[in-house]
Amino acid sequence: MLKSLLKSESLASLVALVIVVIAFTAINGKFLSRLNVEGIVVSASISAIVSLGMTFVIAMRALDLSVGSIMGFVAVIAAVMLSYNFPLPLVIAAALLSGVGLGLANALLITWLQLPSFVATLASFSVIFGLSLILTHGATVTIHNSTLSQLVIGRVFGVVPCAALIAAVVFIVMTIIFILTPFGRHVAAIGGEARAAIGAGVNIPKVTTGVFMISGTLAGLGGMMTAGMLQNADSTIGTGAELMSIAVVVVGGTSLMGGRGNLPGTVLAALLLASIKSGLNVANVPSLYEGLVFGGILIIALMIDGMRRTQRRKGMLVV
Amino acid sequence: MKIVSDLRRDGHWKFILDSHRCGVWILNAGIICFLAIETPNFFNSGNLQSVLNDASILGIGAAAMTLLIMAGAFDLSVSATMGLAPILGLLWGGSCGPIILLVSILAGAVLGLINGLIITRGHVAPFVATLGTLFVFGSLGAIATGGNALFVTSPFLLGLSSGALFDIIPYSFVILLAVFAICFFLLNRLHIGRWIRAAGSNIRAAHVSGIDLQWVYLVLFTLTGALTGLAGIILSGYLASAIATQAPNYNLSVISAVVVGGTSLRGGEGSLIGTLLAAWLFAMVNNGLILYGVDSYWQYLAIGIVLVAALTLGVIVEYVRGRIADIKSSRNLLRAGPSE
Repeated sequence: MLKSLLKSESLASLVALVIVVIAFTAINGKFLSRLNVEGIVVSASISAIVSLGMTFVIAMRALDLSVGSIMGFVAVIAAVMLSYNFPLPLVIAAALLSGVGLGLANALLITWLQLPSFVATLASFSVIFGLSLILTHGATVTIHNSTLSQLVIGRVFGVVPCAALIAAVVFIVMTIIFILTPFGRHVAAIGGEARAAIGAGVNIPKVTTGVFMISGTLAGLGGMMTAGMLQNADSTIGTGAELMSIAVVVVGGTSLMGGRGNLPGTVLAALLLASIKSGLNVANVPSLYEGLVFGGILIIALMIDGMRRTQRRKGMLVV
Repeated sequence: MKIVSDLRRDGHWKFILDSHRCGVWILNAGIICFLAIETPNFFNSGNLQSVLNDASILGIGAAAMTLLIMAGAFDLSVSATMGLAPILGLLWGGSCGPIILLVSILAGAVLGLINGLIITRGHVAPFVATLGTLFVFGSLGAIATGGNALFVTSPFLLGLSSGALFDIIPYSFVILLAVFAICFFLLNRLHIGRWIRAAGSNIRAAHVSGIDLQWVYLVLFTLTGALTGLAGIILSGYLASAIATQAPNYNLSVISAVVVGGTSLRGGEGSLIGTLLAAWLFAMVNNGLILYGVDSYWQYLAIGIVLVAALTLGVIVEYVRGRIADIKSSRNLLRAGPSE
């Protein structure tokens, strides 16, 4: 655990996080106020949960573009069921199950039709987004049940937001799966060299199905938590989340080339991006500049990584 | 003339029924038949013009993306360029229509060049590099206008997007055909066309055989940027305004069109004609849904289903062909008798 935290990529995110926190606190002392820190932690937790699923997908050298639409769909399902006064445990179970189901649907498209994951999830993105639009007719569904929101922003022991606790549990479970189980090693093996993995007897369709079900479930969990946090849901709740979570995973030090997954890095990157977003708010920078800062950080982080890689094997063009 | 002879050598049927491209032909034919029976209004010249207009805006970007995907790269930033390039054109181009058009194309080219430089000089994978510039360009477009829309008043631009040649063929469609002709020429007549295919099928082999890959990618990203700028200003003329978020899902729609058209995401092979047909297919489905009186909420679902259907048809056709080839070869074996 400590060893993987000290991997250079995670260390870079950690250093960046510390610098960002110090810089924004210097600009405006309110950055470290309890309310602001809680806000950062809750939004970082949601983004980390979704991105942890994406880390698995990327470690397998695949992509899941349907994450954002699954978030929206699950949020809408939960909100609509709550508006019909279904009991909360049933709603949560149904919402999570629909996330699992959508992940399974992705996996079936990929394994049965032999489609690249990019194309398959691009198609399911459109279908799922369309379904949640049809379900809500483009309107926002308000959630009157305050228990769901307490499960996200409420405090455990009066200190830690529930969302952080959920994220911590997800992180620990995912780390155990990734490092300690054969399944986790198979994921990395497929991402590293698919042919060698087949030769070693890895059941690729089975592992692919597992990974996309994990990704769908965590996206669903993230969508439901977003709905709980906002106290309402509409189909656009996860718009752009797929690209954002890919950015989080990449900034966290997981290569798109697959074969490795840096789970602590993903969590740190989620914290980093949430801190920057909140810090820009606190520093009175208009929200229009957010994209500029995010994109800039992403490009700079990747260029530093690219230079390091080319230094390691000179002359090889890595496009 | 050699282009025609190439087709002849491959055989017309193989050219049309190539398994990946098959889906888009079948779907096109099926949906046209359906529309002809259910909504004859579809074939009004006014309606056809608006379908062609939509197809052109999608197709101009998709033409460039086809070349890019054939070379094994992506550009996710096109949806931001679609907004930023026309905004820069309107801000810097003064009030003269043709100059605004030119500045938008140039601005798009510069944005594409920036993508290309980050990828080739910074050694960043195209997917994530253009993901970064997607955020940056989108933000710049919003900052440049304060998040508001700029109005397009130039009669030249308004006419370019809504007018039609001889009142029949929309100007945007003429532009689309010209763009496809240029891309076709680039791919089949110039050295770079072969280099694009080589880079897409095996980048190491292409590098070893002495192809200047950096130059190829710089040219391709600049071309994509320029054509996206062109599509952006046409869209702005169509909407009579320019806003940073005017084409939020353009990147994914364009990639969908390229994929439905039968270009493999693994690179190396692709079809410009397939892309053209797929752009028309998407525009036709959207228009058909409106004519059929379906809520606009169904459009995303329909596009997704079209995408899945086209891909599934491709897989089925490939499977059937494999079976036919199996049967043929086993028949040949029978005719030849046991070899031992």
